Amino acid sequence: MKLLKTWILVVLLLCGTPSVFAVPSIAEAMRRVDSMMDLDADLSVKTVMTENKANQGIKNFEALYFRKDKTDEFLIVMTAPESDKGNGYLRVAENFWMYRQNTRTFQHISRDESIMGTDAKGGDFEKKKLADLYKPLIDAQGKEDITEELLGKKEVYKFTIIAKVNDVTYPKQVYWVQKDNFLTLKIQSYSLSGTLMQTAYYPKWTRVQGKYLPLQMIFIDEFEKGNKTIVELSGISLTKLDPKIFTKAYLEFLSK
Amino acid sequence: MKLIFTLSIRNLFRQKRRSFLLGSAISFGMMILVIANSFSHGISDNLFNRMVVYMTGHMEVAIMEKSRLYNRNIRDRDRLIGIIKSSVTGIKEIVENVSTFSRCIGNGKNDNAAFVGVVMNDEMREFLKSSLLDGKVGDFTGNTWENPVLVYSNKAKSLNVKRLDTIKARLLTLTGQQQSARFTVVGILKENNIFESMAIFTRLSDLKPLLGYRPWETGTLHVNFTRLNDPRFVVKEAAALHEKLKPRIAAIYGTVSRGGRARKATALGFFDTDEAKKILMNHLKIVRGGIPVPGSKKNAMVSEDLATFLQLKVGDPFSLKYESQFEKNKEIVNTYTVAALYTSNEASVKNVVLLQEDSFYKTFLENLPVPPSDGSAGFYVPKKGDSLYPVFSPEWKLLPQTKTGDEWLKKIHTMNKTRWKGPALDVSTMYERASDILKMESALNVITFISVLILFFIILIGVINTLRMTIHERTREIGTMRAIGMQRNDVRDCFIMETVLLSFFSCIAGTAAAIIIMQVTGMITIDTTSFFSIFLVDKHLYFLPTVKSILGNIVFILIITAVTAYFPAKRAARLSAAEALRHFE
Repeated sequence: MKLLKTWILVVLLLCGTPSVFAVPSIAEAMRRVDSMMDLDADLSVKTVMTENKANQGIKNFEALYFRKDKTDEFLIVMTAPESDKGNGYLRVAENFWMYRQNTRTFQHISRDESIMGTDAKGGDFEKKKLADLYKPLIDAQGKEDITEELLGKKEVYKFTIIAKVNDVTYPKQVYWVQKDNFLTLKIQSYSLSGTLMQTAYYPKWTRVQGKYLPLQMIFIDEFEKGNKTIVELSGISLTKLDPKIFTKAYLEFLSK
Repeated sequence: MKLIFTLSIRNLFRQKRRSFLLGSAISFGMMILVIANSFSHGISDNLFNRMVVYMTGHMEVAIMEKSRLYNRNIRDRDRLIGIIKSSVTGIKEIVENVSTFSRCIGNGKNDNAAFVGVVMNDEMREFLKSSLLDGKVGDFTGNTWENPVLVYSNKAKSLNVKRLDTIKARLLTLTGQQQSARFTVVGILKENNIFESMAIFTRLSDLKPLLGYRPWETGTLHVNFTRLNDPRFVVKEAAALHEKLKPRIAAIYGTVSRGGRARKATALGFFDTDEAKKILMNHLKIVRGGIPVPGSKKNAMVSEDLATFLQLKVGDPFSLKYESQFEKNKEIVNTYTVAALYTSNEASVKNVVLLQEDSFYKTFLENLPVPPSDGSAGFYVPKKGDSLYPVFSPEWKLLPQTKTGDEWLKKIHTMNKTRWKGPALDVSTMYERASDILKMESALNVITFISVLILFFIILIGVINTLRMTIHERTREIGTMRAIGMQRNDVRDCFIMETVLLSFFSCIAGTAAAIIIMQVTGMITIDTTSFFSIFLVDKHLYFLPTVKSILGNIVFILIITAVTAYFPAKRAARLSAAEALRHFE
């Protein structure tokens, strides 16, 4: 009898139970994702955005992006296309300005206004934690929706989260994160009525000074088929930035 | 006088060809003046009483949350409508304005459109009767189709949809969340101008939940007045409403509890400013803990008396339970942590829980509490004039009134900068919201006026020239009349009367011609959706002649011709009788 109990325990440990323990809770996965994304350092990077809209052709945008981690200040200055070159955005404390190079004027804008006429908003560039915005989706049985699966050849955790505040863009998201280091590989974003609106892929990552950063992000518009945006980062630096960078004068200087 | 009148009439008929030609010129001028004025009035009427009504309303009342222009939500619609009705006169209708821009996908074609929520009332039925090209009103009001919509023909063309096709749309909720929905095209409308074709009409009751509004909430309220002849009336009424919309202090009256102990209490939010905190500290003494800092969610200051009763100390959780004003039998329960305990000499604040304003508005706005009846135990709000009054969060911040579109934009930018989480109430008029349209209307009026003045200048030169010729030709006649005893003033008055009579008859003829031309051109159908379409009503030129303006034009022309005739007439009167008789050509 004792032997049978021991055998059952061993079988349980080898078969079911270990795999149950191997899958983290969604809250833990979100914490790990936040941790991976948290640079805890200043950032300067060159971004190239290729926007491919159905029936409208391809548009390329290039910009320099500087962000001060401690104060969450950021500065964006456009370097391409020629028509937008020199235009920029500066966010310092509660102020968010748009700079127009041709008129050399700064205009106060809100966090909800579009950046460079794209779908990106000023608020999207603020530092936010996944765990502050989302919570795990719990099904009718009270279980979290987190599973292990293969994404291509990579082993991933797939989990579903729902918004816990009402001002996030997507009320529901499904994450695919790499099992070994919790790097995000794919995100599906759903509308309030449950329609898939966007799929984002993060195929290339790099490690700079011990921190992971996506080198390429691909956003597929699932609602309006044929729209795709690719964001590529280069020239990444995490060295401490001079506070003078986050000033109107520096934005004007860069715009020349 | 009778003699002068008779002589003037006789002279007019004596020189039939000249009178006819001069009269024709004046008639033409009058005709142009009447047509131009009627057209200008038509444009004003079209802009004020049609376009502005559809686009912004004559007056708009909006509540914006989190200092964001597009985060507009009137949480207690009926209360605000009540205030408007009691303080504004001449209201024709108060319309719930719920609309959103959207990306639409039709049959293989995509386009942008504005979804506009409408209610099927008599006016809408009348509008559909004249505008519905394809479809039935019953399909729009009934429950057969999923989210029925009415689409203008141009938009239907750009989306490649016809009746009973489906449009998929990407929308944003009022808090900025992505929303998507399917709509069924149940009717195709004919557009009258370029502004209209952008709109897709959907039922207000369908659009509100899609955008995240609850039944008792609404976007903004458009106040439209009975036919607006004096637009400045709106400004006066807006000022009256602004005065009535001064906010009260926002308060949540509920039950504070911990464990088995509970007591009725009031939760108030306090402004997160140094000045407000200073005033607060003049009245309260913190005995334990510290004032919650911004962003410290769910932290509260509790009176020591209340804390003693509930056996609370700093760091302990407690719950605040209250009834929702709109969802019957729904109790809202929030848990807070004690950040500080305070004492006060004022007995009235012993059952008060103080919340940092972000934390307070989060629950207050989401679930408006039932207002307590007077004298309820544990209810406290400072009275107006009380030194604590400016410390506590109001129902809304009343934004100052502005006069122009530029001033209004500046006000909104200033609001954006504050990033205040509470609601901001704004009363605006078409002078701010539709300032571009009104500027265009003023510009058109000025252009019309200048054109008419130039035309009249040319005609008046003709009048002067004709009179000079007449005087020259009739010099000997003047001499004869002066010789048989006619006075200088009579000679002068005779010429002036002659001109005025000619002008009067010409004006009558010109007015008649203008009315005929307006009737004829008004019957021509102009099928365009270009910019020109803003001058049209139901695809026809729209003239609005008024008796007042026509009489005004006649008086204007009579005065101006009389003044023009005065100087040549005076010259004729000054001629000596002997010299006039000697005159020979």
